[in-house]
Amino acid sequence: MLPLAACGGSDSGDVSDDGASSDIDRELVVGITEDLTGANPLQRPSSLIFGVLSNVFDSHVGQDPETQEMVPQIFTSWEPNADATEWTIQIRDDVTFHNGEELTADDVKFTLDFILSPEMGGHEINIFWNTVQEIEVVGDYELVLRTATSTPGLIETSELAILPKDYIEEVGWDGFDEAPIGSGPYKWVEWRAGEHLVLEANEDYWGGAPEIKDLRFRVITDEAAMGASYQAGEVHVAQNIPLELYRSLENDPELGVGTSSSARHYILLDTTRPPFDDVRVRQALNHAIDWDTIIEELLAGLVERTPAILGSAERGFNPDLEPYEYDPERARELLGEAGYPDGVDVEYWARKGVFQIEQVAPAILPYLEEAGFRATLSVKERGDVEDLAEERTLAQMVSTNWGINQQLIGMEIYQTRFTCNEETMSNTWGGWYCNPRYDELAAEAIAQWIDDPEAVDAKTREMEAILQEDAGVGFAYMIPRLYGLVKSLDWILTPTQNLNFARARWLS
Amino acid sequence: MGEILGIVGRRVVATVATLFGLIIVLFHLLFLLGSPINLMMGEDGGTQEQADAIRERLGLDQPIWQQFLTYMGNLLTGDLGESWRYERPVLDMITERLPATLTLGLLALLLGVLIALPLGLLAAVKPGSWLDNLSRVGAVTANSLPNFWLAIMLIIVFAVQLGWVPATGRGTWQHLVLPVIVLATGVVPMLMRITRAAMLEVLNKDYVRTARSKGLPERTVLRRHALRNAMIPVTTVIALRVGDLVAGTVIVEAVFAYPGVGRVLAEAMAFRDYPVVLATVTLTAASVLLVTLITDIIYTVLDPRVRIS
Repeated sequence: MLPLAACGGSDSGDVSDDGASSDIDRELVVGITEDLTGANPLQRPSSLIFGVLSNVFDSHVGQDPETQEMVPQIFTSWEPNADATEWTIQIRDDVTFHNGEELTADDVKFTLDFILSPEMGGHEINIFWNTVQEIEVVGDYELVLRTATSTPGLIETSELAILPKDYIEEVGWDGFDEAPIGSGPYKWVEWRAGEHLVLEANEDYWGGAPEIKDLRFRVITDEAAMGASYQAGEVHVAQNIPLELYRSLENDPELGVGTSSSARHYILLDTTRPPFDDVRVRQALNHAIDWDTIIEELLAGLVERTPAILGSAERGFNPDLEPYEYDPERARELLGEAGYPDGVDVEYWARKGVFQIEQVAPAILPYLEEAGFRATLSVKERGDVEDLAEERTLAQMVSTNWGINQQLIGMEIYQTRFTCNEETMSNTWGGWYCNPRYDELAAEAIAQWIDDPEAVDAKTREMEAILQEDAGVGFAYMIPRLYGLVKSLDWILTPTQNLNFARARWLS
Repeated sequence: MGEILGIVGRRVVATVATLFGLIIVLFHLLFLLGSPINLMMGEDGGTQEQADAIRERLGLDQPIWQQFLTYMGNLLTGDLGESWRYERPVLDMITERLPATLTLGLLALLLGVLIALPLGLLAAVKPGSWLDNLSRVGAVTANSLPNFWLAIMLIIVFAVQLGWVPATGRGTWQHLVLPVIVLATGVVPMLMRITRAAMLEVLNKDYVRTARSKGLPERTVLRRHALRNAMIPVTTVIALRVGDLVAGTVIVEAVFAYPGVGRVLAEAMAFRDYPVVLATVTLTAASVLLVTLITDIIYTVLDPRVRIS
């Protein structure tokens, strides 16, 4: 059920010209739950805000909203040498910034130089690109990147929004923050912190002028307020509406709804100490919980169970795997075999902010009890759990979430959370689960990343199977993000909720 | 006169000391709450290297006493620091939102006073009347309605069902209607009851009885003798409310998606953006203290009895 189209109306282009033009011209208002932290798309925005800013700034590559495939944007081709340490990159020759200046390889170099500068230290994007050692501009539309180590995933790991070199050098970073320009489909008009971001169509966009001329993002952090604003017709796209409202609107003729997956819910298990150091105990846990009933009763059937860690829309998903069967008998048996015939006491934390976790976590308890896990539950603030994750003093089981990565879908989660090496061990969240065969496959997949995508997919499917067999964590489901989407809007809500409206239009 | 100056001077010193004490406690409390580093690295965590880089950039690698001294040093030169999350001066973030919050707060206070004073006075003049009883029940009811619940109910009825006013946001006067009503319901009950109590007390005083026995018309007695004196505690309560304006709107701003200082504070707490939390709370405390100080000084000048105690 993952990629859901926004529209309920037909897509056959039956937009009549009979005087409805005022309607077609109207401003599109999008309610978002989070405010911008600034205009610079490279400075630590969340994936949501990056999507908002993608209306103003083009990235080096993009994602097709329908197929989720990586598609060229500013970069038209990127060829590595044999050991993936040198990349020859061609860029488009028909792109201009909003001030009319041409986008060239110099702008790409400027952007990368900024990312690699010390002031960007610690920013996520810096970590993704910091193997780059040398950036050589070969021509106006060609450049060569040289990396310190072989980095097959370099171009695809992170979105790189291209900034205007000459403009920023002229007006300075403060001037850029005041009046930012990019090369994207919309121009920046006004940002008022906590209130809104107003954009207007870039008529000279290289990809064609957007049909919707006026676009406004309104910041509405409160879920109930978002729902009310949507019902009152004040926003046309509402990110994150309450579950009750979602259900009441499912048959509404005008106010449509849609979902995207924002993350997965899973139960992190401390495999370094009893009882979850024993694979049988972990398998018992996975057999113990009746997720299908929980999903139906508490989550309105809106979520998709994950057989292992990935959802069906993610790269590396293994369609042959069946989720763990709900089987309390088997769970008790496994616990007995592992040396806990009388059951075992465990501490269980639920991290706030995971969709509906306050309802779901208590509902899990009786299932655990039935299988022999005597769990004590505490619901924790996100910040508290992360502090303790860094200190490695978490409870034996923790309900938490892991977001969808925009680009390296599937691979990144394996690399950082379930492989077992020095780097992943130092990740505040990762490194408990260890299986040498799994690590081998991950290394092979990365090595073949460019040359043989099919082999990569085969390896990740095998990794999924291993992780499931080992019961590396408690597998649960993909967390939905509930949207309100008016039916008069033709726009596709992607699973990664990229809020780009370059190709959106009003139906009537 | 010298005596008054001495008293005023002592009050000023006490006010400044209170403010500093508050900052010291607040600073350390916030750091007990936990580190912002993990929240800054985003949903998916990060590496130790990343955490250390952020820690160094924010100066959090230094001992807490040193961080505190740096903060106080900057504060004395009027520098409230920079937001960790937005990397902007905190003062800018607050001042650009202040007009929105003050508009909301002052209108609500005005509306509250316009409702509470007449009701309180009438209730005092005719204690036990239907108006007195009704206003008492009303006050208790209004006081027991949670702010956010009332706000959501009003939105559902007047914005979603009837469409008379916008549900959320800012821009036109219509946007102010619902939040002002909600905030005013927080002001009215207490102010009304205090007005009533103060007026009742004054009406039992000897000088009012004397005025009545002189044969003055009841209107004159009420207006000249009773009302003026009853207004002293009422004014104090209103003054305190003025000081409270900045922080009093946190919940209402969230429910109405209204971009004011309250939202800045709430968001800063969620992201552990401590420079912003510190500055917002300090400014709120400072405004409450300032209003109290001014009220105190005015009392000292006007009422000789305050000087003695």
